[in-house]
Amino acid sequence: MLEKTMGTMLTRRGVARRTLLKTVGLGVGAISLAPVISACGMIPGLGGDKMTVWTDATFAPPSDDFQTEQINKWAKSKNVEVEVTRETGDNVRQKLQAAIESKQLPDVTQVDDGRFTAFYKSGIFVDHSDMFAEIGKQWGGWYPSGQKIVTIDGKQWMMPYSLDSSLMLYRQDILQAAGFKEPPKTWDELFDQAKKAQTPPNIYGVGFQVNKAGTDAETTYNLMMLSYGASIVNPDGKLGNVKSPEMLAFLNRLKSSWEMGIYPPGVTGWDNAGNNTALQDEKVVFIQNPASPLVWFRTNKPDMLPKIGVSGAPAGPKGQFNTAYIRDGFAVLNTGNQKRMDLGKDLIKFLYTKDVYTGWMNLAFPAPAVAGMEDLAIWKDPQRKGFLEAVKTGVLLGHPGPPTQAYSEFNNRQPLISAMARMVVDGWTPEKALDELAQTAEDTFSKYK
Amino acid sequence: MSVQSAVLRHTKYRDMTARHKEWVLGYAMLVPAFIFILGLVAYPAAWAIYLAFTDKVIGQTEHFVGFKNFAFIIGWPDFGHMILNTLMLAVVGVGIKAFVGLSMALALNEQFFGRTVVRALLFLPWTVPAFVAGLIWRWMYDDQNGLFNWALLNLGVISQPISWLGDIHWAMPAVMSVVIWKGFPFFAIAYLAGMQAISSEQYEAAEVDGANAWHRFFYITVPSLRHVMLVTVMLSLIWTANTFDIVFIMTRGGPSNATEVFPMLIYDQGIRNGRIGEASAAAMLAVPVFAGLIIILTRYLGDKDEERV
Repeated sequence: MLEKTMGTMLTRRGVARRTLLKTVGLGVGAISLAPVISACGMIPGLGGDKMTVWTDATFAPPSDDFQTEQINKWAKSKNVEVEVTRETGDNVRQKLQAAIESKQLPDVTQVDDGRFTAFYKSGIFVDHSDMFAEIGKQWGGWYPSGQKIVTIDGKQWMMPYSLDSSLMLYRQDILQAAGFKEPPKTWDELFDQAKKAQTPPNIYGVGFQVNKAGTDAETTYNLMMLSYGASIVNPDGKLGNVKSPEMLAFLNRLKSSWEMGIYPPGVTGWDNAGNNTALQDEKVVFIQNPASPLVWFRTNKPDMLPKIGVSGAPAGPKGQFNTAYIRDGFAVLNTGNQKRMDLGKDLIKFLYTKDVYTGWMNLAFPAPAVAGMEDLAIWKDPQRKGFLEAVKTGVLLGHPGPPTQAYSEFNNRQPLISAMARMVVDGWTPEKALDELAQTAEDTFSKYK
Repeated sequence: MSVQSAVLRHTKYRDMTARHKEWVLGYAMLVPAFIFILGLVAYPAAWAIYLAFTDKVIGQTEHFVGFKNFAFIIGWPDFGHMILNTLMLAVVGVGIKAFVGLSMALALNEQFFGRTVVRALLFLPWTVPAFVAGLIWRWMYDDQNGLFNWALLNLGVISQPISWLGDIHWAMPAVMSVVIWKGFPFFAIAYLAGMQAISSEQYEAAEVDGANAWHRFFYITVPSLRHVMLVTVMLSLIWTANTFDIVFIMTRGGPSNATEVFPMLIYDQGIRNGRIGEASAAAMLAVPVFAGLIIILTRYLGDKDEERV
């Protein structure tokens, strides 16, 4: 009797604990798995049959909306479910980093040249050569800069959609009032015009950032450096002679331009929007930028738009250079799902069809990557035509070499802005700034040998 | 077998089984926490240590490179300057935060009309996300359209706008002011809570003995708060030394390298360049300092527990 009672009690206690344990275990398990399960729907490749397309939010939202609408239209015609996300380029880049490491890639992603150079070696891009040839034929060929970026070992690994450049945007009205009928052809002319046309403290001559947050100015100084005959790399992309007399001459000229008093005092703290804001607020004569300020003027100050001139970068003693880069491009990623990869290619082909591509180009602000659009009416606008002309002959990041990861990392350190800041903020001599520039280049490139 | 011995044996068995089950249940209850700690703390930490010794680049296979990453980071041109800036931001920033927090706590510990509302408002900066604070203050400090220049110009205090974020002398104080603004409520909350635990009888007795307000503050309030002060200062030193978002949004380390702090190097190498190995090595370099602070803190808290026992 006693044994039976004890046994029952033990059993009861055991059952109670087991029940408790089971309940706790199941509860914790459910709580732990809930976010995982819910996240699976968001992870590309795990969300069932839905295709994922990652796109960039640009400075021209109507062109973005048009593109999303077209992608959805394509999806409907193919009876495919597509999820289109649209975020800033930086966010897409960071999402791609995580996607690559977790091997959960989207089916199609928008790619610029920076992302392509950074991620090419990870093997995420499929061979686009057939499609590249087909669409190139359809559109009268590709502009060389785009083709050069995406071609590695004779194959094309992404599809360039638009090319962009960074040009001189200047106040035509102010220059004309100061007696200058033509934009400057050389850097010396630019600094001279800026000095004569400015009326500080209200309007300063040039709005080039001297702060690492202002990456636009890195392009400006890069083009000036090339025009002085200096370069960081050799034509093979390997580190060249940074401590050259040409580089020193360039740094000396950069420093002397500061001493002319043509930079607003705040440029040493400007971020990347600082030059845009200065032009938009009518506080500087010259800036160098892609077309985003023009898009802003069109919407916010349309009466100012005709007063803004657009020209290529000025020439230096050893030539004149404009930049060109892929702003928008598309790539099918290697998800391992052949059906989806084929669908991805089909989607990209659709985006290159005449109505879709020209429709988008009319709303966007860069130039196309293909040669067959030069008869579009939008190029009659001299502001937009400037960008088209620039990308046709523009040089790539890392000129005279090809785009490389080494140069990309070096450029991410904003070495020329840093050199300028060293001279004008820290009071370094051009020679000392050059020593640091050469050391930074050596430190970076030595990792890629 | 007698009934007595059977009962005894069964009781022993029952006790052992019960103890065993208690033991199993105890550990079973710990399992979820253990899994979380293992998955979210231990595994990433161990992985980061491993990556610090590799040439890991996003999307590429890593190879062991020994101390090469550490040498690269230590050889960074601004390395020493970054450490100095980080130390300055942490030490000076925390010192001012503690002082302002203590002053606010003293004021808010007094009875006055609208105290609850003032207390609620005081804690607002603590609740504002850092990137929002950075953006708001960046606009206020902006040399072209900022609030401060607009106010000072209109008041006739200055004749030319000041480049707060572009001047080598103003940039660090400007950044520090935001770090302080964002962080002092933490000190105020902690000190206020500490002050409310001090018995009013101590103050009354001191007053009877002729102690003035300063004496009461230095001989009663400060000693009673010293434990809270140590904990808040230690925690805030760790948080402030890791400040990234405010600096990134306001100056990105400029002008030149005037406000460059250590976490920015980790961001640049890890996120912008995808060089995870180097970023991990940079993060590892800061670990001994933070670990030291954490050890002091945990030992101190351990001592406090023993004192209580």
